Amino acid sequence: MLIHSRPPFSRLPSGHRSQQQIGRHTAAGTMARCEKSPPPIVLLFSVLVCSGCGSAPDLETSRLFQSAEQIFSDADSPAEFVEAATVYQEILDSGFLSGTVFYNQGNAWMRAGETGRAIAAYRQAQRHLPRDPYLDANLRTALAGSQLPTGGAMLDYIFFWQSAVSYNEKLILTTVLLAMALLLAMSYQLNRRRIALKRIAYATMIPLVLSAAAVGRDWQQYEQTVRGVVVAETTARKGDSETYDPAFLQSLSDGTEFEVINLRNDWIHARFRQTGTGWISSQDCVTY
Amino acid sequence: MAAAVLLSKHVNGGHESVRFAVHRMQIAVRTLVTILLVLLRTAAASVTCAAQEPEIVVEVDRQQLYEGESITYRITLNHVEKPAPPQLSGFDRFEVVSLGEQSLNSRQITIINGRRSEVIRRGHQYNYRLTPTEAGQFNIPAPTAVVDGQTLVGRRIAIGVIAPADQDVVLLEMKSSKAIVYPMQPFTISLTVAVQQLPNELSERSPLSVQGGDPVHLSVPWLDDDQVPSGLSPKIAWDDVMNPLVSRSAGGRRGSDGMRVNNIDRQSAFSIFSGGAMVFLPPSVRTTRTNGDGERIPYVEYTFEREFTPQTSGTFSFGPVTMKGMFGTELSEGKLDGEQIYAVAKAITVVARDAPPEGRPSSFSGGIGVFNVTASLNPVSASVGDPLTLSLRIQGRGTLAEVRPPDISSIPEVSQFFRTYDATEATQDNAREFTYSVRPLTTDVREFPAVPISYFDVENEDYVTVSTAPIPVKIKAARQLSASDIVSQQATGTDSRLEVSEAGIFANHSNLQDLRASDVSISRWLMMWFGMLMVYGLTSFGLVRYRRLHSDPLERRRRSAKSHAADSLRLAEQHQDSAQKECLDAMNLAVTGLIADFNRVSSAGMTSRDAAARLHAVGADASMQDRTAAFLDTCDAARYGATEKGTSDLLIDCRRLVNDLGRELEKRC
Repeated sequence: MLIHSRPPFSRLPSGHRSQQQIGRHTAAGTMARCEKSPPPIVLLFSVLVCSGCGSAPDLETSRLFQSAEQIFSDADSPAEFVEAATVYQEILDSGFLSGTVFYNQGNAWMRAGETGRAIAAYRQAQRHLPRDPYLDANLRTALAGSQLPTGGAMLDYIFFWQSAVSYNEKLILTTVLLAMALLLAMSYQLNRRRIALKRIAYATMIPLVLSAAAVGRDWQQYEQTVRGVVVAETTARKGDSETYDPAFLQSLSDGTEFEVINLRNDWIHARFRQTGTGWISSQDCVTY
Repeated sequence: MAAAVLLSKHVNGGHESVRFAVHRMQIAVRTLVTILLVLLRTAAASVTCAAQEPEIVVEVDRQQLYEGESITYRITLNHVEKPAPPQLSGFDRFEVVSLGEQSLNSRQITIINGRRSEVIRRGHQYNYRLTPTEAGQFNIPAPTAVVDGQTLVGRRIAIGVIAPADQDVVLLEMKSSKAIVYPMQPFTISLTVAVQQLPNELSERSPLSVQGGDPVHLSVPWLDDDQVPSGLSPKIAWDDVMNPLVSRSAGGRRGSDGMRVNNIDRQSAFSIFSGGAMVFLPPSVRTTRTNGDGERIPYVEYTFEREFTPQTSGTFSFGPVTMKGMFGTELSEGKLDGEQIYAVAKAITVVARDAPPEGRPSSFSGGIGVFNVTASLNPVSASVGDPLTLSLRIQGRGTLAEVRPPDISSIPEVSQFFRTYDATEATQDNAREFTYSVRPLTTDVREFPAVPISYFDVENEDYVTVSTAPIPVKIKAARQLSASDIVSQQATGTDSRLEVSEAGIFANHSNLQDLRASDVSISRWLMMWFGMLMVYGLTSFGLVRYRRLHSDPLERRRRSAKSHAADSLRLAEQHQDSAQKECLDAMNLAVTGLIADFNRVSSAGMTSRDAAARLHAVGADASMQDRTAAFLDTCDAARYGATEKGTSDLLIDCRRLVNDLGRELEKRC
């Protein structure tokens, strides 16, 4: 390996410091550090924001990404688009989860004619790129103009911004609000005569609770619920084998979305929105 | 007096000032006058220019010429701001060719010894070439020009056109292979120069080889590309026509064999190849002709030919052709006598007429030549009402620019099954393409029918009809729109023509800067939140604790009990040798104060029994209680001299007791 990464906080051996350096560091150096270094709250927020920016790809991931892009741009046949989608999957399998990669993979599946897989990729990209208009347009195209799932419940009215803010952004927002509330509460404890601090702290609690609840909804939706998309026309059955009767009068088409209820013997017990449940073979769908 | 002196000084000093001011004023006035004079001169010059009346000046390069020759006719409009081309009416006796126009506007400023003169000229010049069509003495009519609503009339110029003498030494004959042609139908103009054979023993010699250094001159306008009538396309460029005709005979004192043509000489680009005056000698044949007296006269005939193709219909004039020079006519006493000859061949015309109306088919496209046509339709599979693009491509040789788009709506098979729209036109290399938009009206149609296109074939001088091949199409029924499918459309604004296409997908995100991992680990965030809450809780607890400790006076007293006892002990040490009573009191206070501070009671009046009771109340050891009570009793006894222990011993006992008591009370309270 020719490229060596520098540790983020490298230390010099103690023997390399002279007494003069130490003296200067302990006296004037402390003063200078106090004058130049930002306040702790700024540092805290910087750390929070930076933690939400996501990590940059390493060299191998960048190379794979560019390779996938090249295959995609040169592709003329569905098989070549499938190859591009496979390279994108390789990036994802390496643990590098990115909305851009999901989006591009969805495009590759779309160009390959794999609408169901494209929908699955777009849905996952939505978690990371909730406000990307191109992603929204392509997902609508993949869904062939059908309505995107909407709730309509009271909670959806309260959390109208739920789909406009990503999971990561909600976590950052919640953390910032929590820090603000704690700092305000602490400030009030130090100076109890400032009632305004107390009121602001209580006021901060409202968005904090809403934000935390939104995080909980996302956690429930993304980490506790397994979803899936039908990738080949198939028939949902009432049990986990082909011997069971069909669950619906119609077959399931490519791109039909569902929630996974249970998994048994390579058969998935799926709940289809506003329709019912049925069992489908895991080979006819992808889950995420 | 002082005031008078001051005034006098002021006046004396004022003379210099006034003199200087006058001098400056004189300079300023002189400068002003100079500027005014310059302005007046400029204004006067402008006025003079403006006052000059517009005039028309007519000039010719010569007033005597032979029939067939041309003169340069120049019309100049002077003092005219906005010139208009003059009108040449009554020039029936002339063939008029415009040689272009040029502006004469100029402005010249001259400054000599500070004197500035300016000459402004406003004018425009028009040049023409006039070729008289007949001989005789007559006038060039006066031209007229309308300038700013004023009609300017030029002068008439008398010219003399000398008719060629009646001779049979040189005969010029010009003819066309066809008098009437169609556009794109080539024809050949030929000129025959028949020169009488030299007499007697010189008969075998070329009659064009005896002119010495002054060969005869031939003027043939249609051999010069610049003088070829517009609308005609020569098959071969003029230099390619003339180059093979260059005379191979040597020049020098005896001269060359041949003739000069169209002043092609050193001044022309053509002379670059030879480096001298160009003499041409076309192929010759010897013939005999019969003159008016019935005599057979031998001639040597030289022929020039050039093929032209009319690009459009019209009348094209060729000529006149002139030839002049010295020709040998008689041999007397061994010397050849010459005669100055001027010969003219009158102009001929060729008419290129449009395709004949007789037998013209309705599908005639206007094209004359030879063409073929192909058609393409895209897409070939559509629904009823969908737009299809029909492209008709006509290519070949002929008047492509004249080809009009065929009216496909007049074809019954087309109008029955398709709605058609106007075509767009485009011209490419040797091809013309028409693009139609058509919409199928029914699902019954199986093919787009053949489109016939007719053109006039100039070779066969007849109309020819060619057709495109039928194009198979697959038309299906259109989808019926439901009410929910119908969306309103903005009625105004140019952007309303644009409709967003919902089909297709948008491009990839290919920028590496956008590539960021954004996976979420909720446990990490929960740990962070928990840490923040813990920090807050601990900080709050510490804060409360600190506040509680620092705000209760009894607590503060308890915390400072040991230090108070130490203070009392130090006081006792100070009074150990000097004042026994104060020393004993201080030791007593150290012990009772320590107990009182930890029990948050007053130490005043506390006896040994009280102290033991307090210690008992807090749960101290019985030995500690007894020891404390015993020490306090000993102190009391020492105060009255009833004990054998000295003050120093008591002080040591007190220090030990305070230390032990302090630890015990800290543990119990």
